[in-house]
Amino acid sequence: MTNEPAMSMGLNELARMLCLDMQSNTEVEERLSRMLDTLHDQVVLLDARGVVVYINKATEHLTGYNRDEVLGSTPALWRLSESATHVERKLDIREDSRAPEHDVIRNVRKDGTVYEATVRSVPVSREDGSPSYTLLVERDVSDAAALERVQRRIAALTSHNLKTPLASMRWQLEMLRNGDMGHVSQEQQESLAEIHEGVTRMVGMVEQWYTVTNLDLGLHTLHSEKIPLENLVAEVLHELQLRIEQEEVSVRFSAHPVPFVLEADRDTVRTIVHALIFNAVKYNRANGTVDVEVLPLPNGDEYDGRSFSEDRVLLSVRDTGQGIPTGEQGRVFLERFHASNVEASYAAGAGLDLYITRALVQKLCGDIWFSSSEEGSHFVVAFPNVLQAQHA
Amino acid sequence: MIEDEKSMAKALEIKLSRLGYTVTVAHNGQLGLAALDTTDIDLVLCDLIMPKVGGFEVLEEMHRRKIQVPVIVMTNLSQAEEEARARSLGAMDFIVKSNTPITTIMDVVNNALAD
Repeated sequence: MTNEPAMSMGLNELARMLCLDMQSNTEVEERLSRMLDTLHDQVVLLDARGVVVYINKATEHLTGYNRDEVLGSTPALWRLSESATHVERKLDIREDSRAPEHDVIRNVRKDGTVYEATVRSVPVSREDGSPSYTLLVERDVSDAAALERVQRRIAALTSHNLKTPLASMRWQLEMLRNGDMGHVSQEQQESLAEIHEGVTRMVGMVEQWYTVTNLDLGLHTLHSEKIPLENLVAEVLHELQLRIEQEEVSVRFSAHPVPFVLEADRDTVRTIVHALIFNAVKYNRANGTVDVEVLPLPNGDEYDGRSFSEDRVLLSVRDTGQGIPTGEQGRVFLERFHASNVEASYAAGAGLDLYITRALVQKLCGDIWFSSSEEGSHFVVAFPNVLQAQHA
Repeated sequence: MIEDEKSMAKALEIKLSRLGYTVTVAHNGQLGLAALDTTDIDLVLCDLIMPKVGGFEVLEEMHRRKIQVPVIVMTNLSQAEEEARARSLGAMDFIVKSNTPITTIMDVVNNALAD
C-alpha cells in the first residue's frame, strides 16, 4: 500500500486553505505566507480584476520591487512590454488543458535588467463561487533558456553541416543521371541510382537525428496553423509517387466529401502522414495495396473500440504487407525497432520512423494505435483540434 | 548566386548557364553585396550560413539599401523559424537544398524570372 490517503488529506487541507478568505483568518494567512516565502519561484495572487493582492519574497527578490510597490498594481509592472500581451492571452486560456505549460516570457526588473521566466496560472475560486483569484507562479529560467538556445543552435548547425555535402552529392548524381555531364550507360545508370538512393537515405537519417535530438531535448517547437488534412495527404502521396511506382504497390486515398481543417503544426503533421504512408508502401508486398483514409470521429463515437471526449479526425493507413510478428508488436514504437520478418536490405534505416511518429503525435496531444496480422498492418492516428468536422 | 559550398555553386552554375542565364557567383555574403553594387542582377539565389557575411545579413543589408532585386533563399537549415525570418526580410522563396532536386530549383528560377 502507498501513503495515498495521507497525501490526499494533505492536498485537501491545502485546497481548503487556498479557498479560504485570507483577510478573515490571520493564522492561516501567516502560515500560508511563511510557506510561500520559502519558495524560489515568484508567487503572485491577483484578484478578479487582475490586480496584485499578494506576492511572496521571491517576487521581491526577482523583480527588485518591494511589496508596497507591487500590491495594487498589475503584473505589467515587471513584464517587458512585448510579453504583456502574450501573458494576457495565456491567462485567457488558462483552463484549456492543452495550454502550453512552459512558455518563456521576458520580465524586466526594477533596475531595467531583463530575465526570462515561465509562467503558470492557476484559477482559485471561493467556495461560494464569488470573486475568484488567479495564482501566478513564475520561475526565472534565464540560465536554462540560454542553454536551450545554445543546444538548439548546435543541433541546427550540425544538421546543416551534415546535410550540405549530402545535398551537393544528390545534385551532382542527379545531373550525372540526367546526362548533364555526358552519356551514361545503362549499367552506370543503375549504379548511380543505387548511390542516389543511399545518399537520399542518409539525408533522411540526418533529418531523423535532428528531430529526435529536438524531441529529446524538449526543443521541438510547434507553430499552429490551419491545415486542410486531405490536401496535405495528397501532397505527401504526390511526393511519394516515384517510390510507390518502384515498390509496385497501388495506393487508394479516400477523402471525406467535406475537407477537415486541423489547427496544428504543419511540419509535424506532415512528418506523421509521410512516415505512415511511406512505411505502408515500403513494407508491402509486390502488387500490394495501401488504403489511406481521412475520416471523422465525432465526440463519443467509437472506432476500433476507442472513443474521445472531443471531435477527432482519423488518418487510417492500411497495408497488405506481411505484418508485424505478434511477439514484437509491443516494441513497435520503441527506438531502433526492426521487425524480424523484414528483409535486411529494407531494415537499413535507423529504426526511428515509428518512434518519432508516436512522439510527434503525442506532441500534438493526439493518439496513435495499430493492429497487425499476416494480412497486413493498420495504423490509425486520431488528431485533435478539428476546426471543421462534418459528422458522418 | 551567393553560395559558399563550391560544388553546389558549380552544379547550379552549369544548370543555369545551360538554360541561357548569365550567372555571377559570390562565395560569401560580402562578395555578393559587392556584386549587387556593380552588376545588373535580375534574381539572387542566396545561401544562409556563410563565412564573413551570412544570408540573413545580406537580406538585411539589401533591405537597408533598398535594393529591390528578388531573392530566393537556398539553405540546409529547415526550421520554420528560419523560413519565417527569411520571408520577413523579403525573401520571395525558401528552398531546403537537401530536399529539393536541382531540376526543381531550375523550375523555381524560371518561374521567378518569368513574372
